[in-house]
Amino acid sequence: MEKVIGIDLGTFNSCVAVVEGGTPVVIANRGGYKVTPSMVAVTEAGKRLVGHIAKRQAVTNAENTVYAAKRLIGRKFDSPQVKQAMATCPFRIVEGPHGDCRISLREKAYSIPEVSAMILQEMKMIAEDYLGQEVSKAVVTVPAYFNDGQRQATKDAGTIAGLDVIRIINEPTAAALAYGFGKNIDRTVAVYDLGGGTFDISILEISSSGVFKVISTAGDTFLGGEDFDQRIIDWLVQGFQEEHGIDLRQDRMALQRLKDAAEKAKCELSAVVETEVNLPFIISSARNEALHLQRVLTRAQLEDLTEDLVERTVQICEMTLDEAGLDKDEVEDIVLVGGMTRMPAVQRAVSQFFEREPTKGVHPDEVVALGASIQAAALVDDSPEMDMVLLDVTPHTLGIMVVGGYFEELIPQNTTVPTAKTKPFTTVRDNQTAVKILVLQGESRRAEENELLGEFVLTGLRRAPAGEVTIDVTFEINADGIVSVHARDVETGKEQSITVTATSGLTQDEIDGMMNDAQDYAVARRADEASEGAKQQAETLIAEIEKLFPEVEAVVAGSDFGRDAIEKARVVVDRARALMERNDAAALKEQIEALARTQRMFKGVVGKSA
Amino acid sequence: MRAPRLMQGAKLTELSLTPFEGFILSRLDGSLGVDDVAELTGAEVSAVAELVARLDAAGVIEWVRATSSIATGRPPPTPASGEQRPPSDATKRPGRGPSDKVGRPARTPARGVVRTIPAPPDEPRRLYDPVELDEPGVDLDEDRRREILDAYYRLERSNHYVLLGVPRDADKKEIREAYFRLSKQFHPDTLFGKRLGTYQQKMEAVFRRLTDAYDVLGKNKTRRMYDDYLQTRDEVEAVDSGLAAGEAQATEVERTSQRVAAAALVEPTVAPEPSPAPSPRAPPPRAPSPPPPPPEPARPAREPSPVAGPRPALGEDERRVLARELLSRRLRGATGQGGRPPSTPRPAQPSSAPAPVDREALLRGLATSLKQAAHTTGGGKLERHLTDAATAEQADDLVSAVNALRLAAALAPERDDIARDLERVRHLLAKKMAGTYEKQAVYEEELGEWEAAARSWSRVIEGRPAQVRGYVRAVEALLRAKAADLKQAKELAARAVELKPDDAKTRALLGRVYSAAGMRANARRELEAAAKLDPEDDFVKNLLRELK
Repeated sequence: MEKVIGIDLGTFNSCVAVVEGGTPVVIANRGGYKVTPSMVAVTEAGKRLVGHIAKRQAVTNAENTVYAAKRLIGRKFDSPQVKQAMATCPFRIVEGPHGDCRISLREKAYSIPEVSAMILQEMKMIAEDYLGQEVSKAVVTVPAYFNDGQRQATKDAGTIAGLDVIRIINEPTAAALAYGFGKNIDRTVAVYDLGGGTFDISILEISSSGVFKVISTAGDTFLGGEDFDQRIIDWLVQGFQEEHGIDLRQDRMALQRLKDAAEKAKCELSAVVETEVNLPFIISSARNEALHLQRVLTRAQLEDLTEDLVERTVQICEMTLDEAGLDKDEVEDIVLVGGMTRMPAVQRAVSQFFEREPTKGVHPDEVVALGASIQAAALVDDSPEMDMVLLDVTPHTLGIMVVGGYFEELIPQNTTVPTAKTKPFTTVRDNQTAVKILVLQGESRRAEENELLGEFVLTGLRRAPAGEVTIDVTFEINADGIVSVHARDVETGKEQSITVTATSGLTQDEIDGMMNDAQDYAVARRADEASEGAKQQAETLIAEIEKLFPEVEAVVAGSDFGRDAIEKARVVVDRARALMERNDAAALKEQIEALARTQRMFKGVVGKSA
Repeated sequence: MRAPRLMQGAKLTELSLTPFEGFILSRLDGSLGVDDVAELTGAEVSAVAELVARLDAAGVIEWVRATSSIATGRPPPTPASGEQRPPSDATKRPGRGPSDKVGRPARTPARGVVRTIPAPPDEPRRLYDPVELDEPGVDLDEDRRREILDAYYRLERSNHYVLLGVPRDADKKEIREAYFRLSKQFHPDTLFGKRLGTYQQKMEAVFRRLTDAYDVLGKNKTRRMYDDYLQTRDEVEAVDSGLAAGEAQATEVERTSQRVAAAALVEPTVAPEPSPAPSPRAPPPRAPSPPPPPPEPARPAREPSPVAGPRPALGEDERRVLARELLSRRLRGATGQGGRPPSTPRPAQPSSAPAPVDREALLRGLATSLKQAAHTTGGGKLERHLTDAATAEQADDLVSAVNALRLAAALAPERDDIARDLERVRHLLAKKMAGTYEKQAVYEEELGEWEAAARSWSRVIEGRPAQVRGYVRAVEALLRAKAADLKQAKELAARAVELKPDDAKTRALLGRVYSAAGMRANARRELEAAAKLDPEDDFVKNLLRELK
C-alpha cells in the first residue's frame, strides 16, 4: 500500500513522519536531523537550496534567503502583517499581480505557495529516501487559526510540490493525536502550542474508542518564537546604538547575525541563567574601524523583555476555555508543543494558569508531524490499530454580509465539521429583485473587517415590499473542510450557490468596491427577536431618511433653520447607527422614535415643496 | 392498519403471475388489507397472504397506512420476505419517543372542535425505497449501506436520546460514549477514499444530527431545556394516542353500522340467519371499556367525523365501493357458478381457514352477523359509556372522558345531547392542554421549525379561542414556514381580526397575509383599516405605499 506521509510545515522548522507497522516515526533527513529548517535560498549561480544548506549560507546571502514564508502565506501585500515583515526581513517582498505578495530572489519573483512548495518537496524527498518508494500523498498541518485562504494556499503549495494533500489538519490537533495515540485514555486535554511563528491553543476530548474531538481552538498567527527573538534583537540594537550611535538594523548582514545570535541566546537561556552574545566585527564605524558587539543577557532579563508575550498566550488560553464552557480543573492534561515551550517562563505561566504540571514525554518539535502521520494512516489504513477518527472544528465564524455592512454569522467558530446551517434573510428594499450574497469569514461585526471568501447573486425575486421576500441561506462545510453556500428564494424555490474553493486573490480595494456594489443587493437578517426587529425598523427608517436628505437639503437650502434641522437629523441617524453597532436594543428602541420623527419631518418638508 | 400497494414504477413484467394473481395484484390499492382483498376477490386469505408475501419479497409492493379500510384491525400477515423491517408499532418499543413533529403539516381545526391529529408515532414499514440500496458505483457492502440508510431515514423521527440510543436518564459519560461510538460509525472519514455516492451526504447528515444531539445533551443547561420540551411532547403524545385509540374504537363501531347498511343495501332480501356460528368475516365486537387497548394508536387525519354527520367522505366512498363489489360478486356468483344451494354448510373455522367456502352463504352470514354485532353493541353499552365518561371527567381524566363519550356518540349518533357533551369535554381538554401546546410551540419557534410551531399554536387556539395572541403567533409562524399554508393563515388572521377588530396590529397581519398571497385589493383594504387605526405605523404605511 502506498504510504501517506505527515508533514509539519513550520514557520522555522519542518518535520516529516510516517506510520510504519502501526507506529508513527519521524524521518531524519540526510544530515541525520529530524527537523529541517523551513528556509529556501537561491545562490548567485541560480542554484536552489533548501533546509540546512540554505540556513548555513544565510549570513552571506541574506537577501536571497527566505525564512518564515509561512507568515506571509495567504496574505495581502498591503496587510499590516506583510508590512511588518517587510520592515524586519532581509529578503525583498514585492507586490504580486493580485495584491498578494511575492518574494524576489535573484530578480525572480516567487509566490509564497511556490516557496512553501520547495520546502514540501524537500520533505517529500526525505521521506522517499527513507521509504525507498515514491510518495504522492500527504497530510499537512497548519496553525489552528489559519483562515480558509491560508489553508487553500497551503494546499496549493502541496500541489506545486507534487503532493496530493489529502487533508489539512490543525497543528495542536495533530499534537493531541500523537499524544493520545495508543494510550487508550478518556481525557480532556489542552494543547498549548507556541512555535516559531504562531501560537495555538486547543481543547480536545480524547476517548478510548479512538475518537478525538476538538472542543474549541484559538490562537494568534503572529505570536511566536520570532517575537521573542525580536525583543532580544531590539535590546541588542538599542544598546549598540547607545554605545556607538549606529543603527545595526540598517545593515542587512548585521541584522542576520543579530537574528542568529538572538535565537541562540534565547535557546541557551532555557538551560542556563545567563549567556553572552558575542558578535565580533559586526559593523564598521564611520571612521572605518571594526566594531564588536558583546553583551551578557540573563534569563531574568529575557523574561522581563518578553513578559507581555507570555501574558498574551495566557489570555488566549482563558478565552478558549471560556469558549469551550470548561473550568480549568476540567482540563485533565496539558500538552506542550513547539520549541518555545522549552522556555522556563512559558512552562511556569502555563502550569500557573492551569494549576497543573504539563505532561512530559512529548517531543515538542516532532509531535505535530507524528500527529499528521497518524491522521494520514487513520484515513487510508483500514487496520484496527488505525481505527480512529478526528472530529475537528471550524476555527473561524462563517457568515454573510447584511444591510449596513454588518456581518451575520451562520456557522460560529468551533463548530464540529461536517456541519450545515440555514438562516432566513429578507430583502431590504421595496421591489428588490436580486440579492448579492457575500460569503465572509472572521469574527468582526463589521463585514469589511472579515475575509471575503466569495460572492454570488440570487436574482429573479418577486417584486414585493421590503422584508417580504424570504431567502434561506445555507452554509455547509463537508468533512474535507470545503465550504459551500447556497441561497434559496423560499417562495419560488430559485437557488444559487457557490463552492468556496480557491483564494479570492483580491485586493482590499477590490473587496471594498465589492462591498459597495453589494449595497444594492443587500439582504437583512430576518427578524426573529424584538431587538432584531428594532434593528430592522431602524435600518428601514435610516434608509428612508438617507433617501430624503438631498431633497430636503435642496428645499431648505440657505435657511438657518434648515441647516439646523439637517444637522440634527444627522446626529439622530448617527446615534442610531452607533446603537445598532453596539447591539443596544433598549436604547435603540427609544432612538427609533427620534428616527420616526425625523422621517416624518423630512417627508413633511418634501411634501410641502412638492 | 397497513395495506399493501403496488410500488410506483415496479417492473411487473418480470414476475410470473397467473391471471388471477394479476387480478389480485390489481386490487392492492393501499387501502385494503389482505383480508379485505381476499373477501373482495373471493380468493382464500392464505392464498392472498402468500401472494402478497411473494410480491413483497420481489420488492414490487409497499406497505402504507390504510386511510380507509374495511378491515377489522387485524395486522396483515407478515410477509415471508427477509426484508428487515422496523418494529411496526413504536408504542411497543422500549425507550420510545421518535419525533414526528418535523414536517407534520399544520392544520386548521374546525372551530371549537378538538380534532387532535394523532401523530404517526410508528414509522412506515419501509423507511426507504430499497432501490437506494443498489446505488451503483458505491464501495460499500450491503450491511453498511443498510446501516447508513436506516440511520438517515430515521433522523426526523428520532429525538436526541433515541438517536444516541441512550435512556432519558443517561449520565454524561454514557452520552459521551454513545456519541463517540456513533461518530466513528458515521463520520465520513471512517470511509475515506471510498466512493460513497449519495451515502457521503447521508453520513454527513447523520453525523450532524449526532453532533447536535451531543451538543444539547452534553451540557446541563441545554439538556434541561430539551428534557422540558420532550416532557411537553410526551404529554401531547400521550393525549394524542389516547384519543386516537378511542377514535379508532369508535370508528370501528361506526363502520360496523355502515357495513350493516351496506349489506342491507345490496342484500335487502337476505333473511337473518339463525345460525349462531360466527361468520369468518364478522368482527367480534370489541369490549370498549377503558382503558382501551392501543391497537393502532395513530389514525391519520382523514377519519370519518366523530359527530354523526352525513359527511365522512371516505367512509361513504368506501361503502359504495364495497357495495358495488359485493353486488358484482353476487351477480358473478349467481350467473357464473350457477348458483349453489344456499344451505351449503359454512365452515366452522374462522378467517384463515383454507377450507372451501360457499361464498353466497358466506356473504349472507356476513350481513347477519354485522347486524347482530351492531345490535349487541348498543343498548346497555351506551349507558355504561356515559357513566364511564362522567366518572372520568370527575377524576379529571379528560382523555378517557372524551373517548367514552365518543363511543357513546358512535353507538347513538342520533343523540344530540351526547354530541354536545362530547364537544364540551373536548373543549375542556383543549383548554387544559393549551399551556402545554404553547410551551411546545415556543420551543419549536426557537428551533425554527415553523410548520410545527404553527400547528402547536393552532392547538393553543383550540383551548383559548378568545385569545388573540395564539392566532397572531400561528399566522406569523405560518408566514415563516417554508411552504406557507396561506389559506390557513388567512383564516386565522381573519379570526384574530374578528376578535379584535379595532386593533391595527391584527388588521396589518391580515393585510400581510393577503399581500403574501398576492391578493392586493384585500391587502389594501385591511392595511387601510390598520392605517386608520394607527396612522403612525410605518410598517403599514410602507406596505400600503407598495400596494398602491
